[in-house]
Amino acid sequence: MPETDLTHPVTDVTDLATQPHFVADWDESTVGEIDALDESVPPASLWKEAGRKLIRRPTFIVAALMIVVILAVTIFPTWFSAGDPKAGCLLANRFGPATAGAPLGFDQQGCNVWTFIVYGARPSVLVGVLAMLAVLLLGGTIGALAGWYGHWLDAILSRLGDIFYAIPTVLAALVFLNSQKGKGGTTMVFLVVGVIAVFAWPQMARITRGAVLSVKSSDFITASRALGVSNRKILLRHVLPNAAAPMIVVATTSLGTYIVLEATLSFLGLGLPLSMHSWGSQVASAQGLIRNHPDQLFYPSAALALTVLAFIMLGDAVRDALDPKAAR
Amino acid sequence: MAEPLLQVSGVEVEFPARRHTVHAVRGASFTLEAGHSLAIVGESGSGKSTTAHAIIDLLPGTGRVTGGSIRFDGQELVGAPKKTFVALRGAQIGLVPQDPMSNLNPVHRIGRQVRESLKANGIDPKRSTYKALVSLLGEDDIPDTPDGRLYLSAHGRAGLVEELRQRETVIVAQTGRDAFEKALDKELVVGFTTRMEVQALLHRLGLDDAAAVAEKYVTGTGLNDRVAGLLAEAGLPDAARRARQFPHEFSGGMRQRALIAMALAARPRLLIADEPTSALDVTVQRQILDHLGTLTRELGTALLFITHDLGLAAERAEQLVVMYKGRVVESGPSLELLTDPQHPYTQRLVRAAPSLASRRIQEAKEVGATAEVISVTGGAAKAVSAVEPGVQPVLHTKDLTKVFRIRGARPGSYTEFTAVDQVDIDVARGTTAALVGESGSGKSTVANMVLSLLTPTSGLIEFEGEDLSKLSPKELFDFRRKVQVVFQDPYGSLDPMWSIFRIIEEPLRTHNVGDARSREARVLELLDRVALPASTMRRYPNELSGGQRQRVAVARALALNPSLVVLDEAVSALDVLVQAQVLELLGELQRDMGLTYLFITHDLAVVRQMADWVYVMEKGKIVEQGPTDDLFDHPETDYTKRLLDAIPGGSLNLGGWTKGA
Repeated sequence: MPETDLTHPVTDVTDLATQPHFVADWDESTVGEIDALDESVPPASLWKEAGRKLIRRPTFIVAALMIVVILAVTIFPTWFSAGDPKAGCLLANRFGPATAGAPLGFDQQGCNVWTFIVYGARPSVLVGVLAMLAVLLLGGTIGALAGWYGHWLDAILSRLGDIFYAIPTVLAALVFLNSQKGKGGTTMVFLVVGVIAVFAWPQMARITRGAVLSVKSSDFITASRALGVSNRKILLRHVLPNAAAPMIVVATTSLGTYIVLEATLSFLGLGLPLSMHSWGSQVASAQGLIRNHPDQLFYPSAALALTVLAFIMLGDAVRDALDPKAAR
Repeated sequence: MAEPLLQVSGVEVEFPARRHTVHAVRGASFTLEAGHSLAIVGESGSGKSTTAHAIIDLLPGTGRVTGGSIRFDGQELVGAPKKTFVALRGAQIGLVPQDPMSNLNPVHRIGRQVRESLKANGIDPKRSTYKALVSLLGEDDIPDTPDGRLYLSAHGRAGLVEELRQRETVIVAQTGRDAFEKALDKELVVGFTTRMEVQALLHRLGLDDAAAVAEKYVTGTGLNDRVAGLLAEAGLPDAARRARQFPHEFSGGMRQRALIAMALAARPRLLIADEPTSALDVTVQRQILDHLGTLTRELGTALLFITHDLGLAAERAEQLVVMYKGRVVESGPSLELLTDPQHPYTQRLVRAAPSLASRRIQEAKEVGATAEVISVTGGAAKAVSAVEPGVQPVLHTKDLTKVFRIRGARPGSYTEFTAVDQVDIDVARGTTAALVGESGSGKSTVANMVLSLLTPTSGLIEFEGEDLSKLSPKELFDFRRKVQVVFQDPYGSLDPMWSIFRIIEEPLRTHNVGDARSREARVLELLDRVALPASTMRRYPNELSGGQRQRVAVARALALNPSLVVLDEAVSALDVLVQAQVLELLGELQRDMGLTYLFITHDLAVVRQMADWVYVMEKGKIVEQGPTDDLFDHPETDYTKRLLDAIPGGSLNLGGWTKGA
């Protein structure tokens, strides 16, 4: 191959007939209507798409099955065990082996361990779900206001969040709940939920604020403003639905942590009263038996771990399905 | 006949996916001779970039070549081992990527990145290396560097300048001061000027011992000097200093020049330029393409050019390959393809390309043809002023100014930046006024102030005779009903969570127009106006293409029968054919409904088809205005002239209308 001839400047197009004029076969179907809409595909919203993606994920299927079982246990404990766990405790059965009605055997008091585990689900899940909703409401509102209105409101709310973020939740709960000892079961549920919400909202607020800020600069927001839609309506109708995805992801993932937090507080004797048989207090009462009867400690811990795992897996699957990078 | 440099025949590229495999390229074939140029033209998704990337094995993700043959310089590349490509890339085939913003590493200095492209290809211009080589071979003379030249080093230049200063009086006496100063100032570029060039220059300056002096001072360069030379060659002024800067200190055009320097550093025989200028302003685009063309011609590099702009392609390349849906539908000599397109797709493309349409209007005027040439607005009578005297304009601005405060280094300190400077605009009812300028000219700021989304720092905006700054909240709400906007980005301007029905209904609902049933009827009517089927209303934006979304945005803008529609780069992001379709739609709507448009764009070619009156903005000021035809025919300011020159295809002779043809 000779070196390229530099002395041959290419100016005249006609002396360049190196390639013949090629024309592909005319196939009318290849040149369709310009930008026509394909009406054969059924319409689908982003949420529908996400849902379709979600139900194909093995993680989601496993997590969803587990959560269905957990919720069923929470709502209808009598379907899974025979009534009040305190009833039918016989000291004769103390640390007795598994029987037909008591698949996990009996505890120190001769009570049915399985019934305890089943009844322990309700307070744990209840506190977890209520705390999540409270955090969603509190953190979501504060974050949305800070992100949307900006300026000094943002500065104040963000710093406020930082302050709460800096306080260790367990420590604060210890101090506060210690003064509330001896209150009734329902009151304690709301107190625990309240404490969790007050100290866990900054994370949700940060996520919401970020999501709102990124939606805020979109053209469709400007378009709505140019239409004369009020600020509040834009926030509620356009901004929040578009910022919902990351909020939902954080909410589902942190639900598990709230359940753990409740268990921690109950373990320390500050959370729910013993009469509610929360898994945390079950772990607490079994801790002395760890040498001779480790299974007594294992069962409530396993129930707790599986529940938390289920919600975190759900959160992961939801995150993957709502990932904005995977969309479009 | 010798084998061509690049021969692509029947290439198939597939992207296997879980559900179904995407055939991105289906049987593409073309040939590129050494030292010549070829352009692949097509819209997004046509497979043009994929074809180019297949040549250097840079297909993204799962993509692979599944059939056909790619021969480069007689070597088969399909199925070649990775090693072959590593050796070819840079050294034999250079690539100028599409996006200058993301293709430079932000943490490394520009110079280092250019140096890398030299080092990676084993090029060391240091003379010492060759000296060692020469003594090893036992030869007398010093051989040429790999790319055939010995360059002037910074040290050598200093010595040479001193030498010339000493002989100043002699030289000035012979050739004059100007030539002497020019030589010192411009013609001795470190790392770029070769020994032969220095010798020629010295000879011109009248030195008897030109050869000896050149040999004494031009002794080859180190890497750093050569890097500076390469950057200078790519058209960067003050290259040695620039080489020490970071990418964020560079403008888009400068980055693209740096990328060109890198691509050409190893003197490849083929340069692939993948939409090298589509992210840049038109005038910068022209400079860079001119430079790229000159460089590749001088170096004898073959150029494979990838673009969506037919006019640009025809102007810059000898051969055209038109791709559509992964197939080559037509290929051949550029002009022949433009003047005599055979395939229906090419015909459509040639008809639709704004740059070519603009050129056709130009040519038609040159022979005195009348208004039956392509003009979307249908050749409305041209006025002498933007608004007839005595008639109230829809929009009137006077001394409109916007000053932004830019936060300074210290808290509380700021500098002022005048984005819009005393702008006077009038838009007459039923006409289209275009506001043209490059990025940063302040045109979008004007749009935002007209839409009352930004408060002017000073000046007056009157809409239908009413001063915007004096409107009560209630009146402002009514104003919003009469002024609508269509944005540039079809992916950002529709709420992805809302159905198309809700999106188009929003203005009606916001302004309490009609009841639910009449609103639905209105939405259907609007969809029909923008040529979308009724079933669209149950869909969501993510299911629609860019053009379809833009039509939905137009429908939303029309919902309230506005008096004025602001089109903020409304067609700039669309493919040529779709763009033509939307422009046609806009023209049609204007004729039918008497709409008034304020058309904001950087694309003068589109303006020619759309606008009745043009305002040209530069750095916040209106520098020129006039009826579209007058402005295009007799531009008065340099800036407008440059903008007009930058429309691709301006030098093309499309035949048919020209006198001589």
